[in-house]
Amino acid sequence: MIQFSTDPNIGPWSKFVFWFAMINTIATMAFTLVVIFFGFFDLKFLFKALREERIDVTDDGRVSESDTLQK
Amino acid sequence: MNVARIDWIIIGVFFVTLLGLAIYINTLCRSVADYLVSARKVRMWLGIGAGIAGEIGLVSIAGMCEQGYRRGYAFTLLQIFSIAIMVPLFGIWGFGIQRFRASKAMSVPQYIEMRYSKRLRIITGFTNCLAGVIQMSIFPIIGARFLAVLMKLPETISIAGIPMQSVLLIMGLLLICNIVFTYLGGSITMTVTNFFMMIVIMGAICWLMMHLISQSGLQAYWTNLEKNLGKAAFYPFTGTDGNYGILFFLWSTLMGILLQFSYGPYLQKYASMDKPKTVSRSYFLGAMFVSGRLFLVMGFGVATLASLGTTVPADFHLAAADWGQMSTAYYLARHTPPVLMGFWLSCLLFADISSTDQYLLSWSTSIVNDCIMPFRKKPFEQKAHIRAIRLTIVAMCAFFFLVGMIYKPTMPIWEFLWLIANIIGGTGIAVLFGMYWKRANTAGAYAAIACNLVIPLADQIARYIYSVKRPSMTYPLAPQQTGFWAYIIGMLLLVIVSLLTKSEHKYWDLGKAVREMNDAEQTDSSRNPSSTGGIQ
Repeated sequence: MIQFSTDPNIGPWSKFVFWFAMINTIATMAFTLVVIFFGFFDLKFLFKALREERIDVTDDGRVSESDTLQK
Repeated sequence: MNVARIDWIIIGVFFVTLLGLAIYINTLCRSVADYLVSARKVRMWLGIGAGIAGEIGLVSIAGMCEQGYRRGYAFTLLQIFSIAIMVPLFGIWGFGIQRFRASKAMSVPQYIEMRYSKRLRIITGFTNCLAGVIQMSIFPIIGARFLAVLMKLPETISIAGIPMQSVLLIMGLLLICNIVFTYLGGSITMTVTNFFMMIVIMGAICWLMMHLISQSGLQAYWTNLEKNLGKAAFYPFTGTDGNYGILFFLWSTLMGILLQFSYGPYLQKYASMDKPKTVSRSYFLGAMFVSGRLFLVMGFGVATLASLGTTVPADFHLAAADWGQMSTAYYLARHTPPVLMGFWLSCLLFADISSTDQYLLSWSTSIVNDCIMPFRKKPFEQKAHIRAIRLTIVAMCAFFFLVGMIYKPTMPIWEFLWLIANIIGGTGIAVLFGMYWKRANTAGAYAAIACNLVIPLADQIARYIYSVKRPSMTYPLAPQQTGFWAYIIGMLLLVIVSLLTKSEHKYWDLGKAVREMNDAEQTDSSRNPSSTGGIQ
């Protein structure tokens, strides 16, 4: 595909990094498409869950007695 | 200015669409849990998608481009080693991160109160917020400077006859965008809008990379990289000046591990997920593909190096010391055609909004929940609680603007961000030992946190004094030396102090809680398949 440096000190590292970067970049692009596709299903679930959610007014970051009971 | 009308139209269309979406989602936010952790209803793919946008910030794009320009792809080997350690640890075994989700804490300091003491929660809240705010304070100014160079803006712009520094104007606009998106709906808005922003960001990054490669040719791109940096472009342990080195790797890996238990934005994301298993699954998939994003963004810096070399061009109007940080913006300003420029600017704007908002929400939550609420006799009402967080966000943005006005860089962006993150990492030591070691006690946790607060802050102050008193000389300590040893000392202190002082722990078995939560979800889904949507 491309010519790498003929310097034995650089060439092998250059070749390894090139292919590692190339494969990872292509895999990342493909993975992003998968994330987008399935992400839309999760978005639908989130909206549905938010509409049906029951509000817990005590769930606001406080540490209460019931939190310590789990210990 | 090199932004065409079509570019402004593209930016405008994207921005208005996402703003409309944010306004709609705001109507779904009805409680503090909705605002802070999306009612804990975020599932894996959505979490990963939103997380991608949250991780690629404008400041991290600028930082990665700088690394690509200075060090080529030398980070690759470090990344491989890092993945080999982190992916099994967190992605497969869910080490610590599943336990944190099972604790049902919204933030690290909340867990600290549950495990250690209320007083330590307040101190942790203060130290983490201090570090988070210091770290974030350079986001807007670095982003604004990068955009100003990219857009070829003049130093001052006249608006209604009033001359204004263009960098300050952009910084102000970025901060207003951050406030608007965080103000509307909090975590729910962020999760949904970040997902859509991720699509724009990834699309623009891929397109721009392909354009740059097609312009210069892949062979020239790679050969010029080899010529400019030699072996140091690919191998991080050459020992040459500016190379990463083994200590940098150890520091960054240890940091990466500890931040999983202490970095507010990460943990708020984990807290919003529907069950512990989702946390490790999304980590696994996110981490497996993080390298590709790094290579793409660093590639812009490498393309700059391959095209321009290491010499500062004569028409670069900033100080020569800024060249490393701004070289990529300078290069892209001259090699990005209209339309692509519109997408690229939208990408940068959304990268800034998505990541800064995540951090703003996380630190403002911590300020209100951990630094204000413990001092109140009566807890906030739901609406007052959200209002307090929103006001904190506005105050933080005002502070960032003031810092941006006096900011003077003393080290590369990445290293500044990581050294400040060291302070937060000290909390990670307390959380990690707290979850797994019954003997860890409050006194030991105090010692670890204090050590990691004092050492990095002292380093920053000394570095600043050194740059003023001896501007021609290099500061003798590298950030990795300070950072790594601060962690080691912090861990030793936690163990020694815990062993030497009275055991007053509130340890409980989070491993059991993880199993129960994961099993409960499995039972629910076997009873009612539609409850999980059949996607995972």
